[in-house]
Amino acid sequence: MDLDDEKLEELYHQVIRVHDQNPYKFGDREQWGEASAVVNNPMCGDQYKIWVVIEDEVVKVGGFHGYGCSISKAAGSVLLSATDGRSKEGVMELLRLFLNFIENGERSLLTNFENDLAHEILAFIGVQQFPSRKKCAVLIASGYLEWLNGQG
Amino acid sequence: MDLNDLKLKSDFPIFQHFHNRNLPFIYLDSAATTQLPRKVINRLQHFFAEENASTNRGIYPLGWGASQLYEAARATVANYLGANQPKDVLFTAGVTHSINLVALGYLEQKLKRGDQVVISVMEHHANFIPWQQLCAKKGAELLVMDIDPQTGVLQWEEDRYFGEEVQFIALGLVSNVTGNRQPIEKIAARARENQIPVLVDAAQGMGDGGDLVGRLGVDFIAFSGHKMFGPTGIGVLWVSPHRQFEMEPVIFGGGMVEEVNRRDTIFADWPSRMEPGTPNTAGALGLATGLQYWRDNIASLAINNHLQNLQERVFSFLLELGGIQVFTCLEDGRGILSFSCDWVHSHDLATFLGQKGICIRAGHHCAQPLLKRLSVGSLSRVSISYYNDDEDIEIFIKQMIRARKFFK
Repeated sequence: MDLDDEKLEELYHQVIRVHDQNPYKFGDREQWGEASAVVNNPMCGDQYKIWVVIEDEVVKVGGFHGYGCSISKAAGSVLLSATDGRSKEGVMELLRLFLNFIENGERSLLTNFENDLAHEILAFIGVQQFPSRKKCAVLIASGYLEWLNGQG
Repeated sequence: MDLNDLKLKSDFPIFQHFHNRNLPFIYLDSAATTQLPRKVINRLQHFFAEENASTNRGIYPLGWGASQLYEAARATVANYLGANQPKDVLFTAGVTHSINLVALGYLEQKLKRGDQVVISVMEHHANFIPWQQLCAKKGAELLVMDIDPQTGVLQWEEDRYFGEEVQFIALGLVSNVTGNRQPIEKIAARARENQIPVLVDAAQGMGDGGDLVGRLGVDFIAFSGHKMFGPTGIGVLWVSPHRQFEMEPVIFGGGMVEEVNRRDTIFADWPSRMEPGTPNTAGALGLATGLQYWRDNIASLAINNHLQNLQERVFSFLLELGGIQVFTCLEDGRGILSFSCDWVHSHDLATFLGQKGICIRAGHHCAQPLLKRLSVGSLSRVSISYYNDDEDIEIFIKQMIRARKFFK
């Protein structure tokens, strides 16, 4: 296998492929009302809506819908399926660690999370070799975190 | 003459650069920016190394010389366009700058509430947003010509596009997404009957060749150097002489004045009044040299079908591969094809091919209204230039087959 094939296999890790093809928490939630956040990647036109319901400082349920590449969609699937039932602070911490992992490669604190979740987040390690794709990976996490930051 | 035999690539150092390092480099993004021939690179280097001075300022020989070079570049562009006189050509920062100059310096002062401006749904954002924003500011209406989504053919013949309220028509010559060449000559003729000024965004117009002024019969022509073998940061706005009197400067600074007083300014004559600030002399020389390269090495050969042949090869392959919808105009043969695959997102495909040294574009191509009209979120685009050859296309095809397996 060529070096560039190895990089591609790492980028398109099996976890990412599975989440891309059958994303969790993916579907139109217009019945919940206006989306909490709308995120765009102006470079490629990708766009998602994110819906999050918070009660008593706890994220009760969330979901996302829209259009984008496999990296952005898989990231949305992994993150949205991991946030239901967590405290708002806990979700913010998760999103911050995810962003720090994608942007800076910092992975040591990912062990704070359940093994399955840490494993799924680590599947995005290949993005490190493709700086132009980091924006895809962080698209939903950034919008979700920004919205939570604005919730007081 | 077959361009494949000419080995045009040897004129472009970037291909040699990758070849020397034994790295694949299949450049299929020329609609975004063309590579630069050695002649242009040498011209830029020569200017900076031996001729650099501020244009239109210095009395000393070097300064005077730079001014002469700048004006000679203007004359070369005018000659290429078939303009009556060099002064009809303004140098700008690029086609975006050119179009905004017309929107703000020409149309803004004329446009009134209730007037209409006509564009098409195929426009690049550079020829869409300036008119949209101006209409919003002035309370005017933006009429957007539709296309047949199956063929990409512009539906321009409705009477309302030439009605009494229409004050301006702005259209691209060739779509940067599908390669459709619009029937500007016919549209301009009809507009002239109704005294409606027309601007053409000729950013993708290299395949059309020179003499656009005479052939198109429009009032404004805009294009960029970097899509015509020149450098980035330089472009052209050609303004027909009778519109020059109706256009006001909108960017102010040095070099554009006769006299400045505390309370007012008397502007210099055209074209200086429209070119404030120190000009991009090297850019103008590079652009002119790029046009000369095109004229001497490409236009003189009977190679009009080169782009079309390669385009057809890509087109038939994509259909064979399956799960792909292609948006292109083979008849116009401009070497531009966009496509969406039901088995991979365009960004993922571009990443895969990029790892193989193949440069294609992915995304909305600064044409979101068109993509919405075609009901697609993003497209992959292959755009072919004169330096591409059969081998490039064969390598693209081979790697597309591998991509199909990879993403299946």
